[in-house]
Amino acid sequence: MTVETLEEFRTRARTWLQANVPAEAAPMDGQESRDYALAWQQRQFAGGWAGLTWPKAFGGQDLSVLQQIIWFEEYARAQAPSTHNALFVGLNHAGPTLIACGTEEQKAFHLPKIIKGEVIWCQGFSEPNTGSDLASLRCKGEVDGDELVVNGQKIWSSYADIADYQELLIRTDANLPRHAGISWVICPMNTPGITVRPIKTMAGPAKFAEVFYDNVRIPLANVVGGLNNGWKTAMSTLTFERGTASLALQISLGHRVEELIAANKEAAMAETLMDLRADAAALRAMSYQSALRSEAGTLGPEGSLIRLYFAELAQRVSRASIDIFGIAAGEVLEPHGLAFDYFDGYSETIAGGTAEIQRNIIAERVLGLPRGAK
Amino acid sequence: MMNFLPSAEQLELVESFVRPLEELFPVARLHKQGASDAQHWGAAAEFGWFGISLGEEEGGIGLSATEEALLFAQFGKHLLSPGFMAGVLAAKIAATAGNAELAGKILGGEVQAAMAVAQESDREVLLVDGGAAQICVLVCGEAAAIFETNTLSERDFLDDSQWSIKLESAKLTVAPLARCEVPEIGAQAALLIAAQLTGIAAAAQDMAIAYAKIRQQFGAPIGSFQAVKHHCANMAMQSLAARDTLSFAAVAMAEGRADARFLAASALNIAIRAALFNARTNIQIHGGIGFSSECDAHLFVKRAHVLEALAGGIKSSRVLLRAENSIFEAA
Repeated sequence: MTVETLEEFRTRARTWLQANVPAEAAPMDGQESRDYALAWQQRQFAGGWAGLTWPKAFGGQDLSVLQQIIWFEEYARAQAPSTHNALFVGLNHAGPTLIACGTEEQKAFHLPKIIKGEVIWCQGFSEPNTGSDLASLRCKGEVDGDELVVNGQKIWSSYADIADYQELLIRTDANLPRHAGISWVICPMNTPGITVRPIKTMAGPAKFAEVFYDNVRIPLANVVGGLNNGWKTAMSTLTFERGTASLALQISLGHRVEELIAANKEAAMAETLMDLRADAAALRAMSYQSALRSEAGTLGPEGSLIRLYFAELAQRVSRASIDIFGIAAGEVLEPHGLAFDYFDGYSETIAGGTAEIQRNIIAERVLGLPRGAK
Repeated sequence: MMNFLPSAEQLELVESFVRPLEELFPVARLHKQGASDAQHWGAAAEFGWFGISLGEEEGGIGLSATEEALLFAQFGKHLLSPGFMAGVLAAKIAATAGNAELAGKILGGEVQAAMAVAQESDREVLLVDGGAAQICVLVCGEAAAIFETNTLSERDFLDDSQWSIKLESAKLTVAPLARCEVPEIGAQAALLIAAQLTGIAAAAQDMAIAYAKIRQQFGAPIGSFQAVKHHCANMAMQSLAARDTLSFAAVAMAEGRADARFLAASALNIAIRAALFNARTNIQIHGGIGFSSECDAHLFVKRAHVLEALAGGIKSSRVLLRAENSIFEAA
């Protein structure tokens, strides 16, 4: 038996993607977006392309980080459906959190369903009065026998209206210091007492939602990482979000810059575009090397810096596209056009911690500057 | 197996030079009028700095572009004279041109080199720190040449009181002593400049953060204020981008990969922006003392501009980027 080289792996990925990437664009929201995302994940699983770095025991492929990078490069090159879709939370937050903190039963039940494209997960972290200051959350869970009774509200929960499960952060002990009284819970979205109200984003689709909990009973067995230990569990999730989870999106950004360079006829934009070309190369260099350092166990704290670098570069690329074409152009106004990317991109420096909060975190935790008033 | 990261051994080797650099080249040396690194030329030759990436059969050490780039990033932190970079390029040009005798003299430290860069008017060059140099190096695209400094005419001293390094204008009058035309020489020069600028970005960041931790205002270290924190976080992003783009490009060059020249152009562009951004922000964080000539902060800004000029400016990095195929494709 011969071992497949990386180039052979790349060719196999490219060939499969050419034959299997859906021709039709992904629906933006609602039941159609659920059906589309699950069908695409099921097709990838059947082809052996799901959960590339996840353990084999849970349906993954247990491949190297370099193979994962090559897959994402080919994925972006083939213009496969954006990974920033309804599957994102399951594949990049909930799944990795369960791998890191879940019980054997939780992992065995949930991880294969995520990889096989059977379920959609959403996030339940933010609340109307809890944005950047996540530890101020008030949505309450009271222990009653072997159940938690949840009351309160969450907001900005992407795809909550079409999700099967939610990673839910609740306050389970109001008497403990604020970071200490929080629990991370698997919430089945079909539990009685849950009401979901979808909210349209400024880009158009009803992609996120408010969720209301009225005496929602969740088994205590659904707590991940231990009762009142949810802050630590949540931080492991956010580390994933700010780290390598966005690799495919980062690589797609490089292709978007090249498309703009190919389309540009404005001499005045040439400098901006060459700087963006270098920035995309820098982002790729950072992603490659941080992923490899992570595999080698020598990763520093660069994940939070790369995440922010990506967010702000994505916005600059979108702004450049509007500058080049102008808002009246067909490329801008058409469905799934550049205006959608541009408006949608405003979330990059808000979701998962605003750019300002991320800078505070970088300054305090990476650079060691003293904590101070926010 | 394809390689994308400097190895632990490569990082260790460069680490071994950190202490000698601190001892021989404290940044404060540059406050002295007419300061020059020429006195340490012999030590540099003994360390083997001029032949790091040159093959052993050509008298070099036979390491790669990776060790060279990582070492020159350390040079950048200490604002070593660009003359050392000229030594590396001169040895390479002489060896490639078949002038083994000259290459040997450069590697052995007998002949000192300086960098020159072409100016707009005919045959005019900017010569940097050429006071003690017998030769100067000029790189133009894929062509590179060595000229004897005693053949330069109309040498006109520009300034060294403000720039902490001797800047001269001069005219080329005779044919070069040695020349070569190889595709990798331009990329090597770009990487050496990018490396020193990456070091400047890191050193300016370190200096700013150290100051933000100790400087007290309103009864607290200024680093506890968000406005200052955000400046520091921005510097950290710039430094990381420069560091990783540099090492990624250097490894690509060492491995002889097809994307090496594109990555070198990217590394140059990113490093120029990172060095200037961090050096400027460092002055802002230092406030009044940052504006004074007694503080080291201005030295980083000025040296970043000198190195940028040696690369032909940020505009040249954009020209290089436009000339290469990106690693990404348009759909």
